[in-house]
This record gives sequence, C-alpha cells and structure tokens, in this order.
Amino acid sequence: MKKVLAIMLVMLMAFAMCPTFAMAAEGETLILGTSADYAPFEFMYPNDDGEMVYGGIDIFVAEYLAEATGKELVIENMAFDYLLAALQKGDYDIVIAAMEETEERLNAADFSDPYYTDYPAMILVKADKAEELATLADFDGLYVAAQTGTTKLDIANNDMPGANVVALQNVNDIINQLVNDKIDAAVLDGGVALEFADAEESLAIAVASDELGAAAPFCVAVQKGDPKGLLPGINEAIAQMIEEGKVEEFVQMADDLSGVAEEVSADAPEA
Amino acid sequence: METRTEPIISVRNLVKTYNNGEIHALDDCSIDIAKGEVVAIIGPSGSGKSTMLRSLNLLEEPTSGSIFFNGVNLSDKSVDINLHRQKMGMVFQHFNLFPHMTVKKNITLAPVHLKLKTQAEADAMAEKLLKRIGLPDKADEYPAMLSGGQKQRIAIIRALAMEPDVMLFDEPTSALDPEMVGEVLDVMKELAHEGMTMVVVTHEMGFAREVGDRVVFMDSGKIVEQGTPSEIFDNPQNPRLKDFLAKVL
Amino acid sequence: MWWSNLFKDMSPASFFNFSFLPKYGQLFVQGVEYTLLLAVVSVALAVIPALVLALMRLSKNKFIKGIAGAYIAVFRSTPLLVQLSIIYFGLFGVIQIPRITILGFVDLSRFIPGVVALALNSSAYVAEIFRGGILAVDIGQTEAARSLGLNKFACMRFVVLPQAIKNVLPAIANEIITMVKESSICSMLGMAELMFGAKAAASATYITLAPYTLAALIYFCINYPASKGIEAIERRMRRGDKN
Repeated sequence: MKKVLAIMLVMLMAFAMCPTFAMAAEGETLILGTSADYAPFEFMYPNDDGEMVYGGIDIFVAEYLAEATGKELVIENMAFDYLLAALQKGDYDIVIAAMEETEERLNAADFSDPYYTDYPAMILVKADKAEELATLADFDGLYVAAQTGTTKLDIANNDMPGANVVALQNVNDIINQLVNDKIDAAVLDGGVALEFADAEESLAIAVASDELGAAAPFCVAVQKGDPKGLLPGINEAIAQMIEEGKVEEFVQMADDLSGVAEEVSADAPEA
Repeated sequence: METRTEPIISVRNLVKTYNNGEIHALDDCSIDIAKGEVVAIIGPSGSGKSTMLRSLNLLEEPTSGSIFFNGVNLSDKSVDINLHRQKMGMVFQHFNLFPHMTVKKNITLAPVHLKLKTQAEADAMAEKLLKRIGLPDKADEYPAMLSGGQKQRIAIIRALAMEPDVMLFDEPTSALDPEMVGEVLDVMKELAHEGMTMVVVTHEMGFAREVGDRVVFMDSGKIVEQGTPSEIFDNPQNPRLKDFLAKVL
Repeated sequence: MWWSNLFKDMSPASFFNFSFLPKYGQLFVQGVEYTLLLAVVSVALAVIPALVLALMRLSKNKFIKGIAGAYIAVFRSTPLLVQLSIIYFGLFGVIQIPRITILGFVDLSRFIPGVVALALNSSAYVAEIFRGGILAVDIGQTEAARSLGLNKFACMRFVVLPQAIKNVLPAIANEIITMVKESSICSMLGMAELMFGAKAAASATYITLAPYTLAALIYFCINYPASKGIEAIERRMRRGDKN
C-alpha cells in the first residue's frame, strides 16, 4: 500500500515539476472556445508533424481575428451545448462554433456582426425517401433528430408539426442513428448535411429542405455585456475579412482539409 | 465465600440487557474476586457466563450496576478504561492473534505502543515468555503457521506481556482440537500455581475442580450457586446445577 | 499501408471502417494516456478522503455519521455527468486554474476540475469499500487489541486498518477500472481522453461508427486483462489467508 502511494506521489510530483509545460501569458492571448466535432467548420486533423491540431472555417476565422487584434490564439474544445456556459464562466474570450445569434442565446452572450452565411439548414434522410418527403408536413409521426442546443433543434421542434424530435449531443451520433434506421430524418447545417449526403451513399437531402428558407448567419460570441471590450475590434476585423474575400478562401482550405476519410483511402495504394 | 484480603474485582448488581430490555443476559449479579484467587465460572451455554467475564473489562458495557477493579469503579464514564484494561489480561476462545504480525510483534505491540517498555525490553520479554511455553523458535513466524494450541499459548503470553494483575479466560479451550487442550491447560495451571488471579469461563470440569479455588455456577443470567470445587461437584444443592452436572460429567 | 485498401469501399457508417487510423491513430494513443492518467490520479486522490468518510460512517456520533452518509448518498445517487457539470461550472467557476499544459497534451485547467470531480465521486464509492473492509475484519481483533489497553485509534491503526486495506486492495483496483470507463464522460468537457479522441476522429473524417468501435476495443483491452489480473491476485491472497 505504501509503495503504491509512494509511486503515485512521485508521479504527481513529476507532473508538477515537468519542465515541458507551456504557460500562456494573460492579455496577449485570444482564447477560443469551440466544439471541434463539426467538420468542415471545426475539427481536428494531424498536421505534417503528425500532431493533432484544430482546423476548419471557424478556426481560420479565429486565427484571422487573433492576428488582426494582435493576439495569440489559444483553442479550447468543449461539447457544443456547454460552450456558452463556459464562456460566461470566463474560460474563453470568444466562442466561434457555427453559431447563429438567437433570442435565447442573447440572454447568455453578446454576438458580433455575421462573418459567414452557410447553406440553409437541410434535412438529411435515407436516399430512398428523399423524394417522397417533399413537405415539412410529411414528417408527421416520423422521428427527427437534431443537435442539442442548436437552431436546427428549434426547426425540428417548431416547423415540423407532428414530428417526434430527438435531441442528440453530436452529429456523428445523429448520422449513426439515421444510417441504422433509429431515426427517420436529421436537421443539420446545410454544409454538414451535404458532406454526409456525399460521403454516405445511403443518405440524401430531402426535398422538403426547400421549405426551410434562408440560413441565419454565424456570429462570434463574447461574454454577456462584453466586459473585455472585444466586440469593436472583432467587428472591425470581420468587416475587413469579408472585404478581402478571405471567407471563401477559408471555406476552400477547410474543404481541402476535411474529408480525410476519402483522402486516406486514395493514398493507400502508394503507401 | 468470605475473603480477608480486599477484593481485586468487585461486581455489584450487574445487569446487562439486549434489545431494549427484552433479553436479560445478566440479571443482578454480584461477586467478589480476591487477589490470587482462581475462579472458574461454569454453566450451560447462554447462561451469561461469557457476558459476565467480558463485562469485567467492559468489552460488554453493563446496562446497570458497577464493577470495581483495584477500588476504581470502571463503569464510571470518567474513568479511562484503557489504563485499567492494561492490567486485565484477556484470552479469547478464538485466540484473536493479529494475523498480519509475527508472533513477537503480537506480543510486543501493546507494551511498546503504550510506552511501558522499549522495543528491546519487550523483545527480550517476548523471548523469555516464548521459552517458558516451549515455543522459542516461533518468534518470527506468523499466526497462520501455528496450530490452535500454539496460538492459544501465545495469546496467553501476549496478555502476560502486559504484566496484568488479573487474567480473564473466555472458554480458552473450546475451539481447540482435543489433543491440544492439555498443552493450554498446563500453561494455565502453571500460571495459577504462581499466584495469578484468574477468572476462567470453562467447560473443562476437570480443570475447574483441580485448579479452581472457587467454582461459580451461572444459569439464565444469574449466579445460582458458588463454592469450593468439592462443594459444587460433590454436593450440589440447586436442582439446575445438579441437572447441569448430570449432563456434563 | 497495405491494409488501408481494405477500407476503400466501406461505408462511413461501417463498424470496421478503420481507414482513419493512419492519421487519427495518435489521438487514440494520447487518449489512452489521458484516460489512464485520469483514472489512476482520481482514485489515488480519493483514497484518503474515502478512508476519512468510512471512519466517519463507522463513528458512534450521529452527526458525524450523518454527514458522511449524506455525502456518500449524494454522490452515489446522482449521475457523474451532473456532478462533473456542477463541479466544472460551479466550483471551478469560482476557483480559476491557470492554463498550464503538462506532458504536451494535458491542460491543467481542464484536468484538475475533471480529476477533482472524479475523485469526489470515487471517494464515495471507495469509502463504502473501506467500510466493508473494516467491518469484514473479525470483531475479535478489535476486542483483543482493546483488551490489551490500546485505545480506539491505535486499535484502528495497528490492528484493523492493515487487515482491512489488504482486503480491499482488489476492490480499489476494480474502482480504477470503473474509473477508466466512467472517465469517458470527461470528453463532454473537452478533456482529450479516449472517448474524446474517438469523437474527434469521427467528426473530422465523417466515419461515424468505427472510431467508437476502436474506442470500445481499446477500453476492453485495458480493462479485461486488468480485471482478470486482479481476480488472480485476489485468489492468491485468499489462499494465503487460510489458517
């Protein structure tokens, strides 16, 4: 018993004194909270050295904002529905996570000007049903999933009368359930829905998606009341970013990075 | 039975009940034990004889009544019972040696921890005691390696290492294989001859008759009859004692 | 790699589409390290409070007993995710941990709240293990020690606890195994443990199922041999105990 305890203590002390730790100085950093399970907006990928790093449209936007405001970007990962709570707690300076401004969210955070407008939300279904599900009313009695804490969940709840709504934590779970017929449809960000319709043969975009209308734009969230005074700088940088046409560039970069699955298989024969 | 010397233990009106008074384990028991006396307590199982013995050092807390040891009322809450237990050695039916300690450590733990002896002094005493019971080579063994008879002899000297004024024995041979009973009783007889005050709860009628100065018969939580061994065994008065003796002898 | 071809035509929702491995394997390696670190450190931190709780539970003082009982009841009767969320956002909303990274991938401002939550939870379970272990020590041991004049504390320290701790070591090792599994919940708060690695790989590659299959395999390969090993040790200890 004593030995075990001693070993554990030594381990702990080794951590405490570990010389490799890096400490980010306060004030010079811009801490981004995001939910990196949402390609192509934010996800993890291995860089050339094989280290896991964050990438995606939102990450590139954050990098741009950090550079424009002269700060060093630090990225923190968290489940999507905890992001605003952690922002309020003071863990992050900003949250960028394919997040639209809504009335509820305004209670918990302040939002910048829009930086990007995605495809409108789309409904992903099994390919053989894509045609017959032509209107939102056709989902009466079906099981429809959306991600917890998102505006897609609001759509499922409010605009699809009679649908049984299932709120799930992350997109992968939604796709798994859809593929395995546990649910009949999923309301997703258009970009994400298109990626999965492309990657997974058995899935397609339902015709009814046309009824969902235009997408709300994505904004950068800061702490309620903006106590750190970040919003003016951020809005200025966003305006400049849009003017420079950077966003389209970011979308292209993210496209190149994501879809690692196909890339891996394509690489295989040479390796 | 009258004793001239001041009693070393004096029990007055001892009552012990369980389940909020439903069960009377001890019912108004009083007894004096003189210095150097060997008292054997006999009786059918459930008669309260073990409860009586265990009350003497407060392993059982009495419901009412008092126990005087060397003139101090042990049942008084302000008394530090730990101090007095040091002077009352106890031997249990199931030995209760500490299995994670060597024999020597079993014997020296209490005297050393209670600062009665240094480790060296305690070790020396342990070796002397072990030699006395014929087990000098067992000092560094663990209890699991010993026979029942050896364990009980070591349990006895563990108690003796505290240099007690009185030794309490709670059915010390009941858990032993028959061939090992003798070696334990021999140690107890030797102790009695050296003048140790002993209270022995036992089923060994031969031992009670041979070694006991006095025999106490208990039944249903009461002391029913007491006297010299010959009074109790050869001329019992109480019908329950007669009945008991007819069964065990 | 030759085997990458195997996955070429597999559906992204296939159980065994492991084509993400060459690129995302590292996430899983790190994830295992993080998971083991979480489990071992949190159970290690739980031992001392658990012992205190167990002794409080065995106390005759109703107040002390009640406090420990309430603590154990609360932590055993609420989900770990709820406890984790409350501790992370509540307790560590007040106490701010500096953002220090050790070992290259363990961010202390996450790791510490996670470990504290797991340790608080675990201490409730370990306390009950200790309590059981203490009660399992023959009452005769206490009586013998007390009859020699040792006080309660010395009796506990020299006689009862050494025997109790030996008895409960396998159960504590099992608690580490439980924590290896339970700590997967920390992925919710972005701690880079194994489940987090699986989620990250799944979302980046659109391969939605196989990363979880791999995570399950890894959890199994850690826990099954470990629990078998503990069983073997337990059997040997029991043999040693026979008198």
